[in-house]
Amino acid sequence: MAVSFKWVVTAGVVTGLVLASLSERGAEPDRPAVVPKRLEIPALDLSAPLMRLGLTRDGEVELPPFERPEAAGWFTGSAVPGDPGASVIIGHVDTKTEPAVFYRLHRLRKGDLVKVVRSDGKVARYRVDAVERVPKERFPAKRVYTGDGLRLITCGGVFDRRSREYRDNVIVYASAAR
Amino acid sequence: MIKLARVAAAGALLLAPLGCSAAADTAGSTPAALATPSPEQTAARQDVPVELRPSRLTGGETKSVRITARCPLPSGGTEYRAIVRSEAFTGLVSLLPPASTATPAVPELTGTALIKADAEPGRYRVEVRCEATNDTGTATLTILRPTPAPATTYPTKAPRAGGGGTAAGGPAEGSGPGVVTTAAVLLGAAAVGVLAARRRSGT
Repeated sequence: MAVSFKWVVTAGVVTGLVLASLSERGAEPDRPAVVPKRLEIPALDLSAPLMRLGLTRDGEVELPPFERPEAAGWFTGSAVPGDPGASVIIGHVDTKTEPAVFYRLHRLRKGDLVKVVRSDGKVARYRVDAVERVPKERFPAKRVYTGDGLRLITCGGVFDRRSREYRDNVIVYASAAR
Repeated sequence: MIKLARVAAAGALLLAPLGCSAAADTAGSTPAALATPSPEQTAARQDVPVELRPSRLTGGETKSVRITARCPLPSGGTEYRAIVRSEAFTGLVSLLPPASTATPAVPELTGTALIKADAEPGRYRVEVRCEATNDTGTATLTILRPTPAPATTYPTKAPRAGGGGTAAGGPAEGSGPGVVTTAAVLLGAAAVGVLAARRRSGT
């Protein structure tokens, strides 16, 4: 009995060590095979790296850090651009001191081209359908997160100094270009 | 997925010696229990047709599968029934003849298995053993990865995608020149000023 107990401990320790080394080497198991890498909007002369945005503990989408104002982020709970479903990309309009990646997003017009370069080399092409500015308390979550197409989101409108937040969101809706 | 398999393989390899030692320990005390061969391996005669409905389903919640097996009718007084086992099921399932007394044209046994709510996606072997005749049959059950359903659960709050650093005019108004433009204009003006100053000084 003593022998088998020793075996259990030894095997357990070795298994743990191997698992630890494997998990350090590998990536997260849930990481999808293909991710969007870069957002390109010729009309705005914009080319931005895309980071991954997960969910916060309260179930809201993370935001890119202010330390990387040039980056936009793809919400990992949305579709990979180029695949069916709604793809959501969020970027700051500005940081506390300077303009950020989506500073000029509101200038997009219907028909403008939006491209997303994916990790598999494919490029998803979209045409802007509409640009809207909506108060945050009426954020059209369903329209943004469901259906088909690409959505680009940032802030806009008046900056409320007291809540330190913009009052509106600027949302660009784009559908796959044929 | 590949990584998962790798981890599983590593685990299996590492646990193998553990299993051996445990087996060796018990073998010393109760050899008879381990030596008993499984009867279906020696006595199985033919592959009994087994049908699953559905045979492919999406995992992630408790679902059931209906199993039909064409076990041969027993000759003697033994009970006409079968046992089904599968890793995907919550337990063993008994297959029984239809409730109607009329003998069906093709003898068959049916039963319903519950699928484990946490069954991993993949292919599962479903094994049927007919009690009376020891005939066996197998079928494959495929559990599909549940498709993510953003249509039902999605974030609801408006993203706070701005820090307010450029909020003097409000960026969404689109009126004020951007910081870069402003800087460029200032630089240009400074250059003009320098040139003018040089020209005036007559160099």
